[in-house]
Amino acid sequence: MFRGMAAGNAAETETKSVSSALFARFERGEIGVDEYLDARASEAVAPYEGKLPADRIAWLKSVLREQLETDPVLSERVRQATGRAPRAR
Amino acid sequence: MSVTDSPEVLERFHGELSLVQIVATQIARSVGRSIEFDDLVGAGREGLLDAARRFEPARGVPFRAYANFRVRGAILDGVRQLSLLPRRAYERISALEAAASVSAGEAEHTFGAGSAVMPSAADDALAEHLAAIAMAAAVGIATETHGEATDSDDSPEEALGRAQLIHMVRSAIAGLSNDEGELVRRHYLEGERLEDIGRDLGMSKSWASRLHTRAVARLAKRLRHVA
Repeated sequence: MFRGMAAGNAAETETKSVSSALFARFERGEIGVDEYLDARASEAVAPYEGKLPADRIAWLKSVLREQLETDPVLSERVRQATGRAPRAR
Repeated sequence: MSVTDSPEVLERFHGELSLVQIVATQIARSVGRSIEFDDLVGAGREGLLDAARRFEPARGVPFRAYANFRVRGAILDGVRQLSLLPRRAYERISALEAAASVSAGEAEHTFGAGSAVMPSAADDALAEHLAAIAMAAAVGIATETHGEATDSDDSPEEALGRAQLIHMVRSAIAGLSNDEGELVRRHYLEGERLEDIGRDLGMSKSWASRLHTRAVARLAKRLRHVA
């Protein structure tokens, strides 16, 4: 049981580390807002690749990306994280 | 509109009519050409009027944000009532409904935080929010059974993938609280409406919405580590 818990905690730590690294790259100016948001959308759909057909995954990613610009809650979160409103696409 | 609607309601309604066109256009693009655009706009206007009447400024959510969810929900409800669409269209409707439900449950928390949020904390919240939407939408797609089958429907491998995803969700539900688990199971796996489940559990609509969003976020976190 404890080995399983340790493995789960390790997976969560690794996920957070990769995720934080993306935002750190944005804060350092290595990537722009669009690239940061594209990466966040890709990260969100990644667990479902191989579980849903590829065309549904592609559509889902495009919807998430659009929602980052148009969903008022998501776009407010983008503003809080980046200081800018997402560019309308 | 009714002659008894107050000037505030009418001002809110007229002030955000452009929102109806924007949302209707987004949904029409996703769902396909099988639907009359004017029908979407008509449903959206009813949703906007409903939003204008129900809006509570004290909750701290801007009216445009609140109305966005109401308009989106009204249009998607309207689409579901239309004559039989291809299954692909119903999948997309389910996914869009799920996305709207997750965001609606986060609205008060997000706008309440305002300028007090550190950017890194906002980034964490954004990642979690997107993950929750993706999970809810993916399950919506995987479990949708309405609609006419077409030649482009699943291969045996794709059907297996959907079954695996549903199995993963069922397993992950076991780690939720009783109310969270019941909400998710009955809504995503048994097709019941959130407001009906909330009523059965003795919750207000807004509390059921927040609980739903929290449950989906926890499920998404578990599925991310399993994957």
